[in-house]
Amino acid sequence: MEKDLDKVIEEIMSTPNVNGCLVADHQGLCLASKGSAHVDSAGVIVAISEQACKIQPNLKPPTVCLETDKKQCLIQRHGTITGAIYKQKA
Amino acid sequence: MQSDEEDSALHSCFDSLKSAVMGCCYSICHKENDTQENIVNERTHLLEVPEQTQETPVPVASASTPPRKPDEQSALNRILHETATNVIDVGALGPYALEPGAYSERVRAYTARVALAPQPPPPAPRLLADVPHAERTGLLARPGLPNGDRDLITNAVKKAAAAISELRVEHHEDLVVPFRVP
Repeated sequence: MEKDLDKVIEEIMSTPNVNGCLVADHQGLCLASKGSAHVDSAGVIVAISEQACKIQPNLKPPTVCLETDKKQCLIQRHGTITGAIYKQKA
Repeated sequence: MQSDEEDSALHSCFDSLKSAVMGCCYSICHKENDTQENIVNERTHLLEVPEQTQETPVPVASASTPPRKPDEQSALNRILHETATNVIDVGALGPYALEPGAYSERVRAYTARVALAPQPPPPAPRLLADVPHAERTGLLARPGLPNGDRDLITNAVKKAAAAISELRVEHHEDLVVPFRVP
């Protein structure tokens, strides 16, 4: 049933420097999470992507990048799905 | 002929009678008018009109025009005086000057009061604070997100969305399960 989604998640996690991944729907419900990404952060991630989309609503959803000295969190929306990738800085 | 005489006699008789009646009536009326003040009847006034009201306007009206003028003038002067005392002419007061001693004293008093007043609460810590200008220009001048990262997240989300759109409930067992009722 969710095999395809699991496969996609595994594929993302196999990317170098990626140590977390999360997928949520438009209401903030976590659909999949792996690694350092916590299920509870799904709502916050969706909210961030929603607010970012309001900056220029006519353009396609922007990519949000939260970063610290060592880590990075990439957030993007596609339709009703919001994805987040946690990554170590190269 | 006789009838004519009778007619004329009758006429004269009526005339004399009429004059007598009218005279009598007049005398009665006249008498009533004379005695009106003492006898209470339908012609007496219900409310007695005081004599002064009837009499006073006459002498005033007759002797008013020349002596009234000073009265009006004095009344006007009085009104003018009262108005002048009630009005505060700000323009005529001149600039509000304060003695140097009083001025410094007030400064001291107000400073003491301000020092006694409670300090305003410290501003709430802001989650998103402005970074200094130099740091900001340095941050903004740095290169943006690498294309590799952007492609990574874009492709990942696209694939995830496609996978979720194909999410279906697969049917394996019967939905209706018979209860094992003994």
